Amino acid sequence: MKKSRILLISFILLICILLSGCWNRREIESLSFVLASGIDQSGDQFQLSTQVVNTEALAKNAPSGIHSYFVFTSKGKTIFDAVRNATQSAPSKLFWSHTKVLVLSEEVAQKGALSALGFFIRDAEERRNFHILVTPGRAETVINADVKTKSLPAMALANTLESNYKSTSQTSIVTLNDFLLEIHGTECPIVPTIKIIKTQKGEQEYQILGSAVFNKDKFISYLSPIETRGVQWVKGKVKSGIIVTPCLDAGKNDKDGKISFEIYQEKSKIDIKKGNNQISIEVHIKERGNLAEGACIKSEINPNTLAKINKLKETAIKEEIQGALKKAYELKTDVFGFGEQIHRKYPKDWKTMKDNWSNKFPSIPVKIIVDSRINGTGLIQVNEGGKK
Amino acid sequence: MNLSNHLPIISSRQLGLILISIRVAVMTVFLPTAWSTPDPKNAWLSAILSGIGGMIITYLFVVLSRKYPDQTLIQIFETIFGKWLGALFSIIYLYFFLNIASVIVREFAEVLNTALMPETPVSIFIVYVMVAVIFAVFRGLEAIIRTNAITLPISLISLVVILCLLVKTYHPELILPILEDGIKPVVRGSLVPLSLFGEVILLPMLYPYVQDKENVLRYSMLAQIISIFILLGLILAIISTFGAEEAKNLTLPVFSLVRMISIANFFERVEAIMVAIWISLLYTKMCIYLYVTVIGTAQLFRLKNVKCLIFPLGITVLILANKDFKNLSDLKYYTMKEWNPISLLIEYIIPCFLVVVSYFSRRKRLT
Repeated sequence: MKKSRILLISFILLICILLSGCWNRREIESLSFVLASGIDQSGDQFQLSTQVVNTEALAKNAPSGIHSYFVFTSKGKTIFDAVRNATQSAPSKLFWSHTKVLVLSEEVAQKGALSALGFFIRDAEERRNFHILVTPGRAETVINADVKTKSLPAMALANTLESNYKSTSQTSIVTLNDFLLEIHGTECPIVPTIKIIKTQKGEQEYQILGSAVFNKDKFISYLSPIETRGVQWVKGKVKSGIIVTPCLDAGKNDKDGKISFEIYQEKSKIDIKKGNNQISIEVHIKERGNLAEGACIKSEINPNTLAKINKLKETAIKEEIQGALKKAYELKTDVFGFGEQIHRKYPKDWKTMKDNWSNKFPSIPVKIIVDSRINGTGLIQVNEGGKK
Repeated sequence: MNLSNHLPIISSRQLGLILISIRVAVMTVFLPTAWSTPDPKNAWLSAILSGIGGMIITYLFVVLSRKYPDQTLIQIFETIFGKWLGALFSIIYLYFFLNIASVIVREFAEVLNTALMPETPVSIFIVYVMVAVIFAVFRGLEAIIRTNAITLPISLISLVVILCLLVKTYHPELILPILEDGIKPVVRGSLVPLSLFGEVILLPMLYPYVQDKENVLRYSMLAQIISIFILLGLILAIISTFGAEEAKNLTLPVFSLVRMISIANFFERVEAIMVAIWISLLYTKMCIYLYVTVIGTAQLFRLKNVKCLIFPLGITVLILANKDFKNLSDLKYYTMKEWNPISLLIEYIIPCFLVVVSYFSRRKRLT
């Protein structure tokens, strides 16, 4: 009995020695948290710019005036090569679990985004839910931009993107996972576009402007904000936004003023119809919103005029969608995901169309049916002008 | 300790819990179906199909065990086939159990290595976990099974909570269209989960120790149904989050899924829970398979002292786990491709044969 107890104790002690040391020990102070990163092409190499938090500056009693972040730039033949080369200037290994945004330059996106994203998909430190953006210029300038912000620039960028999407729906929000999901099918992802602009004071600012269209993982072209919303209508991803239309009973000229509507709710349903061996698409849009601005409306607001005003909104929505359709036909990119819808409903017909889809899809008739309603007219019932 | 002195006593409910745990363990690591079928969109149909197969074999095993209520599978072999042929079958089955134990040990080590500590050598994990496993087997069946009764409900609840937390990321339309390429790929895809469900082969090994034998059928069927539902839930969640094509590429699908959790930007990075689930489930599975190998070997050679086998067999598992595989994809390839036909033979075809033979042999005795 005694012997076994001694054995046990020595065994426990042995385990203690082994347990205390672990291979992959990483102290939190020694980590460089990457919040945002940008990928540029530089010759035949990748250039990686990373925005790393200065944890000192985030402490409560931090001395004022120190920068809240650092930017490190490095080059490498692959992304991971560049990541490790960053230690040429960064004091410690980059830690990627907290990444919020990834900016791709147009050049990289044109060559194929997957070669740049491969590292982020495979590495176990990464998460698949950070935002992807495309910039027409250098990604470096976006990461380096010294914007006015309460918090860190990367956070501000993510917040700007989200608030822009939530209040205008004229851009899109794409995480790495969404991007991968779409490029596996025939759907062409649309990725938000970011630019750095200079204000009058000479300060830098972010500007989210529309989106970039990809075919598989290759960048094709840009969509304007209105075209982007046209796509989002069909996808049922419009959260809110303002629709501007010419005034009721307006003439051809613009003098008569404009009306704006606020979107509250939107739902879409893509119906695939098959008749006489011909596939056609019906897009049903259901929209609910408010009349938000309409100083130019001369007549009294009653159900009759409201119906007319509503008609204006409906046509405006239709036009937005048609604009987006036209652009998509031009670029031969199925940004709406019609192909996947057909795949789901008529898998057999899809097999014959699949290979030539980008050429075939412009020839498929699309019918747009908008059901919009004005739920409220705000605080004004009858316009001052209406009483004249 | 317990092993040599008296027979362990377990209840049929505990048996059901251990049957859930050995199957869910592998699901949470590799998720068998999504990877093995040519048509991953319909992997959930394969899951149902293989689940039905699993229910049939569960029933057959209960029928077999009822006929020989005091004998484990190893002893049944001897009764039916006689001494030498029976011993041959027994050795095949014991090696099969030992092999599963070593695969699971390696799986455990590889998973921790890939997901958490990529620079730590795999053998360190193997040595550590084997120390714990050998200790548990020394403690006996009751200890293993009671531990499982505590850890399994926690793991299952966490899994369900994780699946619920991800509701926002699901795109249910991704599982359409159903049966695009017909039924063939679905049947093919059901082979791998079928061998997973066939691990109910533990049932005839543990049946003699169950006290309330009349409830075994009920609880083992319940265990089977719960396992099917968990497999279904995981498959649907993964395909509707990543899409079928991408799901196929993921090494550790459920782990990748858990990493997607992000609620209101503050409740995220909960993969530590996932790792806890892995550790508890895989640990139980290693313990029970090593235990079964140990008692099976003792019964084969009619040894009185069972304890003396634990250490050598444990070390064998350790060595096999270290030497048999090179890395995680090697292991995955093995469990999904090479192991599959062998396990189907051992878990389905031979037992069916056994049931038929036992049916006739009893008749002979009656007449």
